[in-house]
Amino acid sequence: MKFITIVVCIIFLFSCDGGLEPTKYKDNAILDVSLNFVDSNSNWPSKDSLYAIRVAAFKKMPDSSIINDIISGNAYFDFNSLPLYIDSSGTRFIIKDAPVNLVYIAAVQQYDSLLTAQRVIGIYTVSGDKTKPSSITINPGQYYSITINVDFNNVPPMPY
Amino acid sequence: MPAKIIEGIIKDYNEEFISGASIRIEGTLLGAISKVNGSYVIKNIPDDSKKISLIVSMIGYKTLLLDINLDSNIVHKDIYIEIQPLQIEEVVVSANKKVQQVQEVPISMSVIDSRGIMDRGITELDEALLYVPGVEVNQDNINIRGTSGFSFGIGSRIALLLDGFPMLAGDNNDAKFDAFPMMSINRIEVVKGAGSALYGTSALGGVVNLITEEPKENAAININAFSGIYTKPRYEQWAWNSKNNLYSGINTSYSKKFTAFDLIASAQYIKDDSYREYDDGIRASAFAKMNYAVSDFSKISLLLNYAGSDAADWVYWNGLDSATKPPSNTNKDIRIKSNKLSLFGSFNQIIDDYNFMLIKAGAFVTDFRNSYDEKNLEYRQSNAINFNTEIQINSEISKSHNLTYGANINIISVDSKIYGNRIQNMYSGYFQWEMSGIDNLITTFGARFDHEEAEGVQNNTEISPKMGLSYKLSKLFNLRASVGRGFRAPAVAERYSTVAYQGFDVLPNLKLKPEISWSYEIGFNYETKIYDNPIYLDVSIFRNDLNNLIEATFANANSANIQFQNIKEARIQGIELSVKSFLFGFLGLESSITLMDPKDITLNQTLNYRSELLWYNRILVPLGDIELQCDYRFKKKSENIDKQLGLIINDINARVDMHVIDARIIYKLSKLINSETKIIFSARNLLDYYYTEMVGNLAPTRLLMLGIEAKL
Repeated sequence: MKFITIVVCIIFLFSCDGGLEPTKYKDNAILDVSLNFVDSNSNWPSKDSLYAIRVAAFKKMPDSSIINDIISGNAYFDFNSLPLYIDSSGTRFIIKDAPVNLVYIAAVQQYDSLLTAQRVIGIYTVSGDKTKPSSITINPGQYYSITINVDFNNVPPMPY
Repeated sequence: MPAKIIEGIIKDYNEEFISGASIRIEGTLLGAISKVNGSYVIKNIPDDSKKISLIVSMIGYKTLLLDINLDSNIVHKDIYIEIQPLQIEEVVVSANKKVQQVQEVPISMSVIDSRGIMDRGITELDEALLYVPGVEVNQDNINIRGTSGFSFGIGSRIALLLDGFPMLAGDNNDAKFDAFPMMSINRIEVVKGAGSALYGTSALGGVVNLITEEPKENAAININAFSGIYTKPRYEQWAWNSKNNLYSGINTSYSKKFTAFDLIASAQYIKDDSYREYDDGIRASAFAKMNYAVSDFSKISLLLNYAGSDAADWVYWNGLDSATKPPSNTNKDIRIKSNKLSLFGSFNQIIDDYNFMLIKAGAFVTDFRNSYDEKNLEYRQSNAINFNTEIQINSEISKSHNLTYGANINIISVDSKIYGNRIQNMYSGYFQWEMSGIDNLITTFGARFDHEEAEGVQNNTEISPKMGLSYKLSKLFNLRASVGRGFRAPAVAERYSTVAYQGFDVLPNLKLKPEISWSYEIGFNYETKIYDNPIYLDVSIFRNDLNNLIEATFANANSANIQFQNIKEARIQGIELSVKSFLFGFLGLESSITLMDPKDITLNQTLNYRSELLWYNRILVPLGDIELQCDYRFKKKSENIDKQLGLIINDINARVDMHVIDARIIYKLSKLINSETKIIFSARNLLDYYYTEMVGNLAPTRLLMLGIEAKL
């Protein structure tokens, strides 16, 4: 009886799966976004209107509020601000649900303590026309690198 | 004719005196607790009694039912009780501010004994509560039957006591899990359901009371040393350093009873490298309790406990792919130092055969600060004193009427960088009437009045009634029913916070109202035997209605500002079933299942951070000098969380059901070296199962430990 009990326990012990696991690197895609700030010495806004600079990569065009689209899972986003008052910076997105088509990739400035206080300051555009955002298709296991130019004196229109 | 007396000595079959055993005359309120020399005396037995049944019970021993003929006025009866590895029948508890059998308590209770604490290598309170039916620990929050979610521990909905003294920090009203002398704890009593009628604020969802050991007659020294290693994670991405991460510590205790003075003392040192980067810590503690018998009828006790820690400030992970690392912008040089000091005194006086008085006073002092510069926005510091004084009287009005009543003053003083300098006072009075006039029925009713005064807020008065019934249908079958009200006054931290914390600004709210709960429960416990196998069954059906629940919430939908607000109404209904058995003379089994429907009535959805199913199990297999033990805990993942956390925490949906197995092999060396010495090899999270205790927090991975426990 003791032997049977112990065997049953051991079978039970090893019948469970392993729980959480990291995503498999081979399935991840990496998107590096570099930001270049035009005339960085004089162009940056003052501290009282500069709470954070971030990059958001949208799966569909934002239609009402950048933050609402982020919360609803429509965009890749890092809450931490990129460094301020420098010439260039960048962020990396590890994309675990590739393939995915990113239709609007933007650098945004938070200009007040409210999270809704966001404005677009630069977009990814192949043509250089700030009214025509470019899309990019991300495939599993691939690496992508793009650049966004930011000119605080000549920002793109809001997408909505 | 004078009343009759029964007296004697209680021993085990090794001729060891048993201290603290409960001896009770069945069907009456008469009883005694054995002293350190095993002696007991029960007086005032009605002179017309010819024959009585004694129930003798003690944690770690088989409960005994003895029929005794009272053929003289003084009857001497020595009693032997048998060691039983798994406690089938429950024992005495003090949940109702008086000692009684757990079966007579009209509300659900669980008890963890010192053996369960020591065998499992438990060094902090939260580790012990993980094994209690219906109880979860959500990182810093104790959650009994779904009443609490997750709020970094702030505003505990569970009253926490050490020998009846309040032990929630004055500022955050949170539990400091390392502030308890686990080496010197005799048992932990967990009351499930509102307990404010006796314990006042915070007992919204239950009460956890730790009872310390009493000193032994002969000098006793216990040493428990252990060291363990976190095994390397299965996934390369989660390996964060190349060295072996250790968890090591030593506990010692000393106990001795002198003529009129007795002493118990213990100390602990723990060093934890952790399984995660920037999560290491060192903690040390010291405890002493002294009793002085002023006379045969009065005793003074003094309890002193200090605990200090120096730890990293882990909050949440970088993401699922780097689950053992903090966010990349974390300043890893920052440490948090924390000190906890408890100093309590009590005076016990037996006034006469019918009246007993207890006066107590003491303070729980907490202090924490991080190592940021004081001018830094992330600097956090707080010092709080939770002073408490109480007078309690127990009166036996008649053979069938018992009255417990008292008054209580609680003063909280906070000196804090983040909360300011604050005072919160609470003045209280309470009573509880227990009647056993009807055969086999014990009726309890009572109420507590609490009046709160705090700076800048309206005074608040709460009246918390309760009623309970306990009916003994047969010797082994008890029915119970209870209803009670609970409340929780807002914590200083919830009212006055002004702090920047991990990307959030927390704002004060002076308009907070107390949280209110009503608990309802019916249940029964039943003992039986199937083919000589004892089985103990306990079933509860419960419901908690919770109003004005305070939750940390975003001040508005689009703001990074957090404020504590009364925003929720909730209802939690469920059923809990516990079974214990000792099968075939070699297999101890303990299993409990708690099924809950935790409903957020405000949003008409399942409450955030609540599991709907808990299933806890324990197996013990004694094989001569070796004993195998295994705990298996299952918890269904919580359906809902605060989705706005996704703004700052990556991979918040990386959550799975919990399957955790803790196993140990205990080898008793007593035959080899003539000493009560054990070697314990244990594995916590044996299967190295990966899950999150809370959003963005990988729970402890596998820890293999070797320990030695010696009694000198």
